[in-house]
Amino acid sequence: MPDALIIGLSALQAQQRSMEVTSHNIANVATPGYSRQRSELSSPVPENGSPGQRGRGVDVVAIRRLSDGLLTEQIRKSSTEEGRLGLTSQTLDAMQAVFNEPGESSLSGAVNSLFSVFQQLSNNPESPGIRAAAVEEVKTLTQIINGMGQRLEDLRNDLGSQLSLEASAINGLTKQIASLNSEIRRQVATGSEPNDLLDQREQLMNELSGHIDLRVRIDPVTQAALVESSGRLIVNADKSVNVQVGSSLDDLSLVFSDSGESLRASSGKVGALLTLHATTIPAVIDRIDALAQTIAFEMNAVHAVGVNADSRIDRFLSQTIIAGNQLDVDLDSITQAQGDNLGAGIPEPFLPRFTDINGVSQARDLTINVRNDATGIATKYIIRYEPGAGATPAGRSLQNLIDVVNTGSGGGFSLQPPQAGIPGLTATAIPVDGGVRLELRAANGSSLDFSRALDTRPSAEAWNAGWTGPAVDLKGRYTGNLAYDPANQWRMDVVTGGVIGDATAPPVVSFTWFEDVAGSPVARTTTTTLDATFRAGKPVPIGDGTYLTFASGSLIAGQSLDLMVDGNPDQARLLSALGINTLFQGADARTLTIADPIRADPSRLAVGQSRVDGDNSNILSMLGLRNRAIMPGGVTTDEYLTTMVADVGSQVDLTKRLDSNQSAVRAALDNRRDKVSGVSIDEEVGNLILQQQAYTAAARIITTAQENIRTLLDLLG
Amino acid sequence: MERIASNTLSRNVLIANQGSLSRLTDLQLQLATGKRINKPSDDPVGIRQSLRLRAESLKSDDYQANIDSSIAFLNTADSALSGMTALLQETKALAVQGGNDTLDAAARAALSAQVDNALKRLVDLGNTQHDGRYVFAGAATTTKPFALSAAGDQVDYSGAQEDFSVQISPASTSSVSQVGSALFQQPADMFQALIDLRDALAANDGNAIRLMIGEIDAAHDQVVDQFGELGGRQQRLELTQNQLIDVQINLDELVSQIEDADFAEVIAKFQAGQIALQAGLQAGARVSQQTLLDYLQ
Repeated sequence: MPDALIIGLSALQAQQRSMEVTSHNIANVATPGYSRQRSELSSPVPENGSPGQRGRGVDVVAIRRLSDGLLTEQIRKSSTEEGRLGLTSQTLDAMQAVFNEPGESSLSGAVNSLFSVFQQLSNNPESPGIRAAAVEEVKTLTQIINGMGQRLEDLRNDLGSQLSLEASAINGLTKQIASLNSEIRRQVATGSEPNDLLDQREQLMNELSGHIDLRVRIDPVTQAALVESSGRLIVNADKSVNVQVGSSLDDLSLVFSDSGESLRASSGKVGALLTLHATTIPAVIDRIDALAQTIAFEMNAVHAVGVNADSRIDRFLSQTIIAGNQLDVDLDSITQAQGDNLGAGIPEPFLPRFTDINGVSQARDLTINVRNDATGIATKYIIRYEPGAGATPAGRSLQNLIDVVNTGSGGGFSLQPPQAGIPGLTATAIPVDGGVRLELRAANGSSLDFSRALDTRPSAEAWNAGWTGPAVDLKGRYTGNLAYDPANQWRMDVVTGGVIGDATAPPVVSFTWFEDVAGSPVARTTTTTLDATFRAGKPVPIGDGTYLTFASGSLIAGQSLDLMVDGNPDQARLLSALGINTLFQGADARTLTIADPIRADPSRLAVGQSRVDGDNSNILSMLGLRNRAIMPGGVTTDEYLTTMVADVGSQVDLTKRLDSNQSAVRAALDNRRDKVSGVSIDEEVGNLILQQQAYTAAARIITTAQENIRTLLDLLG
Repeated sequence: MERIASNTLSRNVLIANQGSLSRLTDLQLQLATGKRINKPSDDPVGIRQSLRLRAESLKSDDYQANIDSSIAFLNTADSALSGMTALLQETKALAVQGGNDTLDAAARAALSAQVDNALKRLVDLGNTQHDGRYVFAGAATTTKPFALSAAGDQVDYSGAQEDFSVQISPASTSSVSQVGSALFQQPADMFQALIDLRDALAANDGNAIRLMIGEIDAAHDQVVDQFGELGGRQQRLELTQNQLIDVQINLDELVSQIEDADFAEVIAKFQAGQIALQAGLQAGARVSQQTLLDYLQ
């Protein structure tokens, strides 16, 4: 009868082992990544006997781990996607916060406030208080743009430090996986089943796949996991490869420490970091830069040719610094080095325009008005650039510009009318750190501006021989936009002589001029009899907003006067490029500020285009920019801004939706995994009861067997 | 039958409750701020519209402020012009009276003094100011436009030849201060008419005096014309003002529709969300407590 004892013993051992497995399952009900285990029971090969075969009890043949290989792979893929979307969504949220919309202290709020205060200024252009308030609003706008530019840049740089955290997390995980691999292999070789280690390794690979996208292969013999990413085995059995952040600060990358090759993660947290750093955030920074640059460029171009009634500026110093060795380089070729805002050169968007859209050099005019402050007489000088006939266009360097002011010619520049330099004006290259600044200095007692204001005393006696008549003044505001010879060269001829304002024999004058008809010059001749209606001091209309007044005296038939108007004082936008009389300075969103001279003296905010004391026309021109499609893509500032905000908003919205969608997918996958691998306490307790009963019964068998033996022994006794 | 693992239950409860909680947080923010859109991602299409409409509304505010100050300015100009017409009528009566050859030199000299007085008042009216700025000086609003010359034989204009204007809509500007010389000195010169009348009366020249009646009439008619034109401008401004107000009411309504939370709706959703969260929490608490162990001794 010893068989019953042996059978009972095998049952006791098997049930005890099973109860251990059940307890282990219950103990790990909440362990992440744990797969439930099951003891596989089987009856051993029976002994042959007669009659029938004799059973030999029960054996625990294996402790099986219940897991679904296909599902684990799907879960890893889902982790990768979850890592990417989660991090992207968080970062985009932070990016959206930079915009601070909707709100008063946002960029759109600052743009609204700026234009609003400019409207007030247009009502009271002479008010120093409102001018100071306008300067403050300009400062607020630049500070908000600076803040946004800086915070976006910070956000981008933070991604670099996050990436180094990623690298150490990845290195930690691959190292652990490799060491688990060697442990698992050892145990498999000795024929045991490292179930818990397999679970741990799977969990680690799940974690790893949140960081980078993986391909995993399990060696069927050794059970070692081979983990591949970016075409490289990062875990090969018991060896792992370390990764580290690439050395370039500008192009963020993750490289393998041994080979230096980069790990091209397309997904996972690392993939998200690389994409955000290389594309997503720079794209937004570019848009804010473009906004800052366009506002600055357009406003500067208007401001540079503005002037105030009380402006007595006798010295302009360019904000732009030109490197000393580039004095002879064409101004439109001196680009400021990218990212080097302190360096010399012209920020690329502000380069002067000497060429048309086909890159062919064109003639360009720049007007300089020199005004005698004592008499109030202003004289208009035009610096003309002609590209010349040869294949290489004539020079247009800073030195050429300095020469034409001082001597009357320099490279392709010449003076209109031709003369040996602009009287009373000196141009100098002032050495400063990193290069030179251009200084334009007027002689004592005179001041400078670049406005389209008319010559108050035209055709300085110097260049119109034979004029002996009374003093003549040009008045009004030229409303046309014509700038080129001959469109801006007008002329008055005295047809009939006589005393101005005489009732009986008044003089007759005729004006030859060009009307601006939708931008094209149309030759006109206007004849006016200077009778009592136009006596001395009364304005005689010419056209396009211009008038002439005569002092008292008489005109002689055959005399003539050349008059000059100028609808576009700075055609090449040289002043914006050099930073002379501009409203803003700086190269991009982070560096944009109000120009130093205006910061120091708000009265230099140029409200007019002539020296008439209530002239608000320059403010009106700046206000007009708001309704013009000046932004890249041919839209207005408001549209550009709202589109940018809406785009950021929909990016965030989309990513959030994808992210929550991905979470739902992940939850469904986890639930499916749990159906196979998850521990159910009810089930385990049910099993436990069965196993306990089996154990009790087995014990009973042994007791019975023992009793049987005792009965036998008693018989013998 | 499917196996349900113990984890599944708690995971599902957690996910459902987190969803409810995050929806409640959103709704609570809407209730606290009164805004449906608190950040661009709340409604990317809506924020685009609301930012654009808000900018339009603020622009409209600015235009209205410009129109208000223009209308006040024009009202001052209006009363100056009506003073001028009265003065010119008065002067015409003096000219008719002076043209009667029965008057002797002394009587005409007395009339001449009256005309001179009227001339000075007329120049004063030409220099009318509104809020410290001359209304007939064109853009040169701080320059006194009219002055009698030292010799007293003409009135010189030293204002600007361009109007002072402000924006009243995206595409149009309105002149506020006008060029005085164009109003009063061309083609008829009302100052010169008075100066000539004064001199003719002083010179006791009956023919010349009678000739001036026509001149004064012409000057008077010119001022009346300006009067009418000014009235037209005021009307146009008021019309634009009304349009702007109408449009702005619409704009503000639209902005509010897009941006503002509908309290009734949000509160209803909030309550529904609260109930869902509570139900979820309670069900979760009950179900996850129960295992087979509860029923074993």
